[in-house]
Amino acid sequence: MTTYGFDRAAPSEIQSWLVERLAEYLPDLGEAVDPHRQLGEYGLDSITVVAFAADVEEQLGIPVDPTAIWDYPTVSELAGYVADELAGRRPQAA
Amino acid sequence: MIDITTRAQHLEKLLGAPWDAANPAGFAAVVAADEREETAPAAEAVLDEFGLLAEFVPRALGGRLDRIDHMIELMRSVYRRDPALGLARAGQLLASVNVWTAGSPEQRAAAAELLLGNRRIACAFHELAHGNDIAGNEFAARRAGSGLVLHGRKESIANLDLADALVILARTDPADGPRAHSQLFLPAGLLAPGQVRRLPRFRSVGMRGVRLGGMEVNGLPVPDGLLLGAPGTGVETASRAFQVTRLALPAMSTALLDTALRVALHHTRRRRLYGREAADLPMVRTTLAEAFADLLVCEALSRTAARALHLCPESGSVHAPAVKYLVAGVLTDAVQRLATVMGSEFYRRDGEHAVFQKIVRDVRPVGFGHIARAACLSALLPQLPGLLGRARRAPDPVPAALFTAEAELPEPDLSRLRLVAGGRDPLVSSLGTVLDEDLPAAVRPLAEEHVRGFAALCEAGAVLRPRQLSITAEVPVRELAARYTVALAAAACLGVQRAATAGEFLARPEWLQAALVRLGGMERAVPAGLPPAVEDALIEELLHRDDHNLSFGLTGRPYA
Ligand SMILES: Cc1cc2nc3c(=O)[nH]c(=O)nc-3n(C[C@H](O)[C@H](O)[C@H](O)COP(=O)(O)OP(=O)(O)OC[C@H]3O[C@@H](n4cnc5c(N)ncnc54)[C@H](O)[C@@H]3O)c2cc1C
Repeated sequence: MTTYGFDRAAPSEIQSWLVERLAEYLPDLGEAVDPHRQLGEYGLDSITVVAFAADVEEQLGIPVDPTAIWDYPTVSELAGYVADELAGRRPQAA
Repeated sequence: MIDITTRAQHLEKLLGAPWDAANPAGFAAVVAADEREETAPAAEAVLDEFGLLAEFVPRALGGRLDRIDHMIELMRSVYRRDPALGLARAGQLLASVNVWTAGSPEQRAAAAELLLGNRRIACAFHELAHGNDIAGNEFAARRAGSGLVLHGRKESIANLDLADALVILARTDPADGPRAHSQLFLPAGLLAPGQVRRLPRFRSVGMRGVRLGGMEVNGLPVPDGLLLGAPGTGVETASRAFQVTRLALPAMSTALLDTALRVALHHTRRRRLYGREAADLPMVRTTLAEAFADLLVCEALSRTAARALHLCPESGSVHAPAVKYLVAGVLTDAVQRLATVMGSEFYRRDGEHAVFQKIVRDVRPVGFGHIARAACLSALLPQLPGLLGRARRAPDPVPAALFTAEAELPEPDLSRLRLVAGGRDPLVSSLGTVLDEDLPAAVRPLAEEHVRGFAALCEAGAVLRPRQLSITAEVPVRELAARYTVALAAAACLGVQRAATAGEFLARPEWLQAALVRLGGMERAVPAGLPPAVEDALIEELLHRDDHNLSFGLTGRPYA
């Protein structure tokens, strides 16, 4: 049902998709999101994290709790998590 | 297990007749205690005799909590007498839901033992410097060897001075972020006077009988084993566990409107003006009828949402802030309007109606205590695109037990509460098929209006941009979240009427018409009036219940 604009098996593509998606939440950021920087440093507040998690869940069709973003707080770590989820390599998030 | 009707009747009998000036747990005693910034000692003794705190303890741990809707209903008996008496006890639910959610078996057993023994567990979360922003809390638990050392201040904590144990939110990581805090469950005996300075009691305008305390802690060593849940999960645990309390506390508070309405009726039915009862003046009648309708709306939404915590717990992250936002707002406004029909009688601190001025003060914290209404809209907003999108595309199936009068419910499973609903909300989904039902003719146009309103909300949701959803969301955008709560309430009222037992008041169309008109008014600047026949039906029911000492909410139970 979900159409991806990227190869869901490739963490690098997931990562660039996440970078672009995140930019939607950070309108005042003049540069691209650094995948290795902590999201908190971009001023992503707890409310926005909920929106972002819901958005990723909606777009990818896998459950993404905000806690996933808390536990994988850089785009790069999050991409790894999402890739594993998509590949079914991880037991369902609690 | 003793059923809710028997339990509620037993508690009512122990509390005695509210209007009896000689009853040490009646309104007069409650007002006198409030003047002393206390709760009535005889009423406290009744609650201990009844073992009220067992209502907060899950059945598996020896308590009587097996249905959240019933726990709320029982607590309404307490809140109807004195909201401060109710909150001073219900405040312990704030602490205990965290223990039930994240505690080890030993911690759960210890908390249960305290509550079953009528002892107190305070919830020390609040810091004046951070308000609703609990992730900003600074009270620190720093690791030192194999233990922790506590530093910092906590203020306005209910029952702090009486507590045998505390649940504390503390920063365990100096770096910011959602994993920076942990919860501790600690015996009050560990608060050594050398390292803990008790702050003077906070004095408040309303809920004066609730003892609000504070503490300043300076280098208090505590064992590591006091952590509640894994390190770093403090905010997460609270966000899940507090879904129960953010829903239950406002739901219990509907009893404030019950009492305000009872006193307003008592006064205006006896007051003669211009050769008639004041209660017969059209303006007064309308205010009374609307307040009754508002009470039914609040109880329909909160009962349905409480049942949803059992039936579809994953929607709790939506329903809890929605209940808090809508119910607190409706209750506060309705009590305010009733104050106008009380006239100068509302202003009195003595006489048989003095409890009214107390209710007017006590209702205010429903809007900001535990979490602010504004913060509830902030919590709903980021979920809106998913919720509205799913409601358009693939509405969730609606469990019948959400609405049926005597529904069977599975025991609550707090471990199934999630931080987000993933767009799932069976209650709002139920609006999708409401027009296919056999609706009373007078209700249909109103139901259509709400269904249209929700469809318009879904359209508005489809164009929301991510950047509009943050904590800095503009007021018109936040209004969309408010409209979502109205849709939920309309769905709940429609469901409750549809599922009511034939022949009962709740099965009649009039209250539903009134409820839908009132809710429609929240979406427009100018609320519509109730049709005269609807108003007549509501007033007739209200007077009947007043004459027979029945409560004014959904259940109409005998009130001592
Ligand atoms: C009777 C009573 C009993 C209490 N018992 C306890 C207890 O037992 N334990 C405990 O820990 N605390 C307790 N409290 C404290 C209570 O939880 C605090 O009052 C509460 O945290 C609100 O903080 P604040 O009023 O300082 O609001 P602030 O956070 O300072 O908010 C001020 C205003 O800012 C706006 N605002 C705040 N957050 C947001 C947001 N997210 N989005 C948009 N706008 C926002 C709102 O308009 C809000 O009303 C009790 C309070 C009372 C009155």
